[in-house]
Amino acid sequence: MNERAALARPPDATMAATDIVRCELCPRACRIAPGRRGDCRVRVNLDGRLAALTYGHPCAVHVDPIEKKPFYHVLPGAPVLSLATAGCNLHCRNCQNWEISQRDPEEVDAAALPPAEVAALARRESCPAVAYTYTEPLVFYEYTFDCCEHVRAAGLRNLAVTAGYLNEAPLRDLYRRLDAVKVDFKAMSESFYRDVCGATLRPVLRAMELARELVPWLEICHLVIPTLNDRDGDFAAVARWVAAHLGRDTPLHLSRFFPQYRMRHLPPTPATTLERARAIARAEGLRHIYVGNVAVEGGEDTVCPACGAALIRRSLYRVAENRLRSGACPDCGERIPGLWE
Amino acid sequence: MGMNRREFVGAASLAALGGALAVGAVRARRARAAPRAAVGAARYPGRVRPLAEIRRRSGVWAG
Repeated sequence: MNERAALARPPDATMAATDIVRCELCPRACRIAPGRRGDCRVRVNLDGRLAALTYGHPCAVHVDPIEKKPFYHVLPGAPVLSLATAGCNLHCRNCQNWEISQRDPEEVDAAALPPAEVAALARRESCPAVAYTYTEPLVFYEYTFDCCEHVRAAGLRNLAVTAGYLNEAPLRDLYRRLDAVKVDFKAMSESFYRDVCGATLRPVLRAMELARELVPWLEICHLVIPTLNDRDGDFAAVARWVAAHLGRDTPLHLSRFFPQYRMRHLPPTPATTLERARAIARAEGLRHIYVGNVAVEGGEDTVCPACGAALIRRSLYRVAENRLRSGACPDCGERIPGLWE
Repeated sequence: MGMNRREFVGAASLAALGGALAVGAVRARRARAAPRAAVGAARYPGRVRPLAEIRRRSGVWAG
């Protein structure tokens, strides 16, 4: 058995006799009795063996533009086969996809789609990459892992969109099979992660550092929620950490919040707030800052940090113009980091 | 202070109703738990639909 089997083991000597299993996938370390599930709703103790109920059964399968993930420095304009299963190990009160992320597998419809067929489907749909997205791909770890193997063997790329709440060992194994990762960095605040997401900050910071080390490409998305993480100091803290730990060339997507799920009492993020956040991130040294989920002039465009020329113009997740030449600015020759081909 | 008959019957009915609800809750938990114990790694516990149907309905999800 490969390293994935090591994710489940008796937590200690006293529990070994009772068949209780501790899931070692994420920092929650759920202790799961036989027949019961972990906090993510997906991982179950079957007679002392940990299994993922949703393996091979995505509840969402769709071909999206890569800009919707969003990845702005990976294969611009490419269609991406995107999939997810039910469940999540975070419980964000603002979740946009709560109808699949905060549900048991029994509560959502799903298709039977084994990993080998994922790669074949991507090829049939002329998708150069597969994205594990919508919910939390690290929760359906074994499925993501096996899909990655097949997709890579088929000569396609693997992309993951994640909150980054996973233990280091399984994360390292999976990262080595990914070509690009987008991490949702909720806030530079332990209390935000605790109160809004039901999680903790430190593992997420580590997940982003590991992604920078092990994955060819990393982008960060930061959802700006009015009153919760929209002060100047909040923006500066996020941008400063990204610049210092992930590098100034790491794209930062500042995303507009819309009232959802258990956070319907807050208003959508004003465009002016996002523009202020972008100015602060730029002042902190980041070179590629995008504004999403809102119409802001040039907010989705990739701009040369050296000469200021617009290189890729986007509108509503579509590429309107791409002037990049072999990953460089055609005007001044500045190399723009990313996976362009 | 004693109860009159109507009060007693009402209280008894409520107790019975409470008991029935409690039993129902236990049964519901057991019923929900049963497929978990029965499911194998290759057997999905939920509703399996044709891939085309899932794809058609998946355009609404963010990310």
